[in-house]
Amino acid sequence: MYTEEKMAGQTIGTVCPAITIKKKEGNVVEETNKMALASMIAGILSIVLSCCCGLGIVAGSLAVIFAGLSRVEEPLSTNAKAGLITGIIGIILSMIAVVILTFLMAGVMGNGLETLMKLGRALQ
Amino acid sequence: MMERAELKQKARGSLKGNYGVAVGIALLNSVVLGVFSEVLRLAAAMVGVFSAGITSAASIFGIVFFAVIGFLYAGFSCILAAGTVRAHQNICEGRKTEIGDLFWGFKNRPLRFAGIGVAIVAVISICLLPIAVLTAAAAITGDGRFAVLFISIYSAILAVAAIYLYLTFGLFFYILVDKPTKTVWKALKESRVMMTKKRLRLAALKISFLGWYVISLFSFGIGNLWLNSYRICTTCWFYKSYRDLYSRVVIVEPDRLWETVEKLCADYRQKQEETVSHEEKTE
Repeated sequence: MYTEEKMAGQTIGTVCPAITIKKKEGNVVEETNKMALASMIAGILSIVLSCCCGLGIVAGSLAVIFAGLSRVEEPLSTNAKAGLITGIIGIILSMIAVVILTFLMAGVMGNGLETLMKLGRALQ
Repeated sequence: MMERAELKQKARGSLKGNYGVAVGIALLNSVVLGVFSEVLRLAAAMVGVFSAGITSAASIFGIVFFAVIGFLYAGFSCILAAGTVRAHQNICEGRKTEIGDLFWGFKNRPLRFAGIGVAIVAVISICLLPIAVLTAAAAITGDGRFAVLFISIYSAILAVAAIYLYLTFGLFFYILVDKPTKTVWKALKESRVMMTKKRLRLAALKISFLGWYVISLFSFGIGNLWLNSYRICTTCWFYKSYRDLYSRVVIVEPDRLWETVEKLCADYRQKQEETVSHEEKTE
């Protein structure tokens, strides 16, 4: 896909959301918005890691930060938008996972305590 | 005069492609400060073992030693802070920046930067002395009502004074790093003049980063590596916008001197009026 847009008097083409081409002194220079890419990767990681004891929250918040920092002049790039959305979803999923895990742990510990008490009574 | 959003945009633009250096500087700063504080802690532990409160002379020595350690740490961190600010100024000016710029303060009058750190800690310690004395007195007498009342009012006054001083001399360090030949007093004066009627703007700029820091809390501080650079760069751009407003170097042809001076004066007056009208709008 090749879309063309005018920016600051220079012809700039966007090959894909992550790569823009700038015309500079007759040469074509490829410039990647690395922060947007990092945001997207962190966002995807946050969803993948959402079940790993809150690691998804770390990755998700990093995705949100990178997405915010990637915006310079142009509106938020597609990668950054993807990173932002996946990051927020990752944070929410991680929080839900942490809450569920806490309840499960509490339930297991409660059952364990009951079993121990029963064992104590039986021994007496 | 640049708006807050424009300042932030400029900062992000400057940092684009320089995040590696900025994060490297932040990491190296943390590592160096961590090692230095550990060395100091080890020294303190050794002194604590040797003067374990057996005699009053030993405990006085311990107090003096801990004060010296505090001053040493403040001085050292201030020298590194100078390097950090210098590196970010280089990034904003489009100059070549390296991770080694962190140690810029050690090559450029390090004692002055160390002295500033020591002076800041000394002033804070003196300001907090009444609280320490009153707390000790309340612990001895057992009646803490007056102490609680005094400490509450005194803390509120101190907080207001600290915020006012921070906003007044907020650009002092940036001026001193940007123009190393300036004396400390001149830099303080210049910062006070620059910040006249602009304190609210700086306060708003600083507060606008609160949301970012709340998000970075979720990342257990990892996000701060990027956010700190962003914050410092934005402040550098804030300083740059006013530096360019207040100090301009103009090369003039001798026969057009008065014409140029009049034009510059008119330009300056217009910018000042713009600044004042903007302040009134924001207030």
